[in-house]
Amino acid sequence: QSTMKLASATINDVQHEWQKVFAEELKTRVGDAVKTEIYPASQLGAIPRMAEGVLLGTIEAFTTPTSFMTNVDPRFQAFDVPGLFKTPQDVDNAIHDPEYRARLEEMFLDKGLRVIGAIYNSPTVVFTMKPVTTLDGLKGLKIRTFASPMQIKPMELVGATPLPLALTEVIPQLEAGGLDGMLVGMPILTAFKYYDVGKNITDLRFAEIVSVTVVNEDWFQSQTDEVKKAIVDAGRAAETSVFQWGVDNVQKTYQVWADNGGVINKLSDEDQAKMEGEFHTLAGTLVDANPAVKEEYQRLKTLVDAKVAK
Amino acid sequence: MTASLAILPVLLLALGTPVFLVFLAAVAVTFFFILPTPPVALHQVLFGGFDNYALLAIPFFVFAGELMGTSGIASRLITWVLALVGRLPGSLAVSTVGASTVIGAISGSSVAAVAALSKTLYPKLVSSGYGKERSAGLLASSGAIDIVIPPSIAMILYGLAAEQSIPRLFMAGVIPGLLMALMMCIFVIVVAIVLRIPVVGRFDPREAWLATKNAIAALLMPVFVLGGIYNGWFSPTEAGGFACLYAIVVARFVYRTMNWADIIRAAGNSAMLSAQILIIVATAGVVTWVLTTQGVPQAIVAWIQALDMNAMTFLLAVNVVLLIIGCFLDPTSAILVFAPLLVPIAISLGIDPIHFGIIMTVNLAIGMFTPPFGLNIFVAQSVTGLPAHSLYKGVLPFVAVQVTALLIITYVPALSLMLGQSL
Amino acid sequence: MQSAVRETQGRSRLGENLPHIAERTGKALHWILGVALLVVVGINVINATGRYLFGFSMTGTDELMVYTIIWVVMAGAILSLANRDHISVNLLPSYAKGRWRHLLYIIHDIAGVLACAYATYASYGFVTKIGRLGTTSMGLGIPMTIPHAALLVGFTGLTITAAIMLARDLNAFARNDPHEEPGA
Ligand code: NA
Ligand code: NA
Repeated sequence: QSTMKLASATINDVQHEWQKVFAEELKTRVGDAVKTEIYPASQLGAIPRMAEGVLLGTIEAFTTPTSFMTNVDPRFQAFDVPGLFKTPQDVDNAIHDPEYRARLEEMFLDKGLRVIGAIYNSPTVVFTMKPVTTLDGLKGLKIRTFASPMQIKPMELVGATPLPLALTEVIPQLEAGGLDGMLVGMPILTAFKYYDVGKNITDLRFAEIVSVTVVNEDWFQSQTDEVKKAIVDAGRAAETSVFQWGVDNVQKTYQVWADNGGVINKLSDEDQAKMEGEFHTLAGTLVDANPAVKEEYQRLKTLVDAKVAK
Repeated sequence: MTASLAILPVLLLALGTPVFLVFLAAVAVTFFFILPTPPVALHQVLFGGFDNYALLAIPFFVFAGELMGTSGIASRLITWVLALVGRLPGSLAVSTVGASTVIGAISGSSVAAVAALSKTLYPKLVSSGYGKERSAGLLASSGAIDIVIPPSIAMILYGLAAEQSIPRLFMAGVIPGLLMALMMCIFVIVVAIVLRIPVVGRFDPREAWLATKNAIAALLMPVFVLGGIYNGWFSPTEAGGFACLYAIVVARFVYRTMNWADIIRAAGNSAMLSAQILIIVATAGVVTWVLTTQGVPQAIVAWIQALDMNAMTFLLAVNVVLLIIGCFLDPTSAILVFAPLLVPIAISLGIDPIHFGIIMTVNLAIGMFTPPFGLNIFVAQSVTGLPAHSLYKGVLPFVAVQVTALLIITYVPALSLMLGQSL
Repeated sequence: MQSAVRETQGRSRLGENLPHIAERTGKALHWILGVALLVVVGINVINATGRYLFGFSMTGTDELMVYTIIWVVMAGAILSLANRDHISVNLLPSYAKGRWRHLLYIIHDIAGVLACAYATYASYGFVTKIGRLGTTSMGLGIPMTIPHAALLVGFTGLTITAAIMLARDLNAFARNDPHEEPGA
């Protein structure tokens, strides 16, 4: 019997749900041959430590938004290029395309990682302390982002000031006025009850977060062929069944937000079109920096565009 | 595992082995003989213990405390307080509690407060007649107020682990934190009366004015740092850096009590003490990690759950268990591990998760100074130079005071919840 | 630092110059650590000021501060071990005299050598692996081997220091010199 520790930074969200469904699916396939242990909510350490853990085999599996793996392999950036995914369906069309999904599974083998799950997570929205309904309204705002060009550059482009700040500092700074807002996945806002901090989000619809589950390849290869197949199959089964759960969960978080007095702002059609146009140009320059990222981005973009055209 | 993670550490600790080696030896033996996990995990978890932005508060506030002590800022503040309230019994001890509360509103780390205050207040407390043990015990235990008064790293971690609103937790901590401070004040006043600690003269308006004039730059320090946080100039962690900057400017250019060489020497001393503290925090984190992956916290929680208690007895059981855990584990890692496990049970019993967060925070705050393992004790011991058994004896009365406060906070939820309602 | 001062009286049999060199190295390291902490405070102040006043913040300053502190911690840990300054529950050592005290120190030294050697081994494994994988930090984009190597260097230094102290304490125990101050 082998043990499979599945780690993630969040709890009760689509990542956690995928892990639970995966554990059940695996059990129905191989019984007790693999003992799964789920550690949500960063119980096994901060995100960079979990990423290192799965690379070095101290954690068998790690479920995470792709943006936290870009320092392991820059190709993870491709999923976060602004304007690539605008709807959950776009994500589904690209990452669950059978041919692409097969490619994705083995794409990071050179880093010792195998992708056994790829799921739609949530849209990235801008949380702000004051309502923002125009592009001009974003100008000069101090917005917390990740230390990733995929978040920093779009915020610079709309005239905001992107500030990569430690997570523990964010709420005190929002309350004191040192920060005006943050780029954040929608479910995070309701999970951590940000409606007690501020009431406004602006739904820019320029990025959807994709989460992947990666396993340590050495550990994977040390399993029997039957277990290997079961892990791959259970991962695929779990992602198929939690896709709708994830979409519904995001809808639910919008509802929870509204129920707690939160406001969902949108740009005017004119501003939205202007922003999307600018982001399209930006996407080009962002991916030009790295040929491998560019190639991956174009692959994804082709899939999204082809399905939208149908 | 009992041998490597319980018997060995207690034995090594009793023999006076450096605390970080106690933890490191315990995990090394566990890795070597028991765990199937590759040893690289030891490095990885240890590094994770250090790689935490919020921990910067420790070197910052240690340095700020060292600067305040060496520059004379602290002694001018003390003179000022005594000139105003010196005629009241227990004034210096009450000021110690007050200073911890003010530092509490600036920083989110308990050990930082102990380090900052011990150096300056300990000699004064001893010379006022409180006795070495009691003075050090007071300093080690007052630090606990720091993580209950917002901002609080422990509450931020609870909020993240249990998915609770951090602003509500902060609001909820205000009254319990003040209650702890009040009870500590009452206790030290009673002690001062019983011990007949001499009061410092009569109130003299001229002397008070002089002391105030002398202390202006020092008095503006908390104003600047608190104002900076609440105006959004800097974050609670960054506030530590600004406290250092302010103290350096005052020491070098206003009071001119320190030259650059003195400042670098003070920084070196602070770096050394911070290193000793942080390496303990990180090695203790590995112990928690080993326990977590071996299912120990999960087993403890399952055991509590199996007792099938009502809310009142559940809270009592949680308090007892957490107080025992607090004797051995560092509160921040204990919160990360236990909050996700305990909060669902608490909610199912109808306990407000915000109230529960305050209970956990107060509990683990007390754990910072309960023997045998308590970072506040270790730091107070290191700064005062007292032997450990003096500290152990010195903190015990304060453990009793704060456990009483904990029971009140546990069974009067309104104390935690009334401010939060306004949000 | 008291023990470092005591060391300058230099009764070591390991060589007349060794305590002198050790003392000067210790002083220099103490100074470097102080300057490093001042630099971190400076980065912190500049970063927060820049952010609040000018809406400008350099990516990776938090990493720079944290990684510097990790190096400071490991270097400070070595110096503290050499000075026997580390935080401990000094109940028994405060009562133990003469040979008994040397014996306690020998136990601490052995724990130090074994635990730190194991940690060095674990760190070596980690650092070489992370070096091969070539991961970089999120903010600064520097190779992760740089911050991780602090632990490898630190534990190597701690192991060597503990071993030297063990040799000296064994020597002192054997000679049972009541005047001998056990230490670095
Ligand atoms: Na606080
Ligand atoms: Na304790």
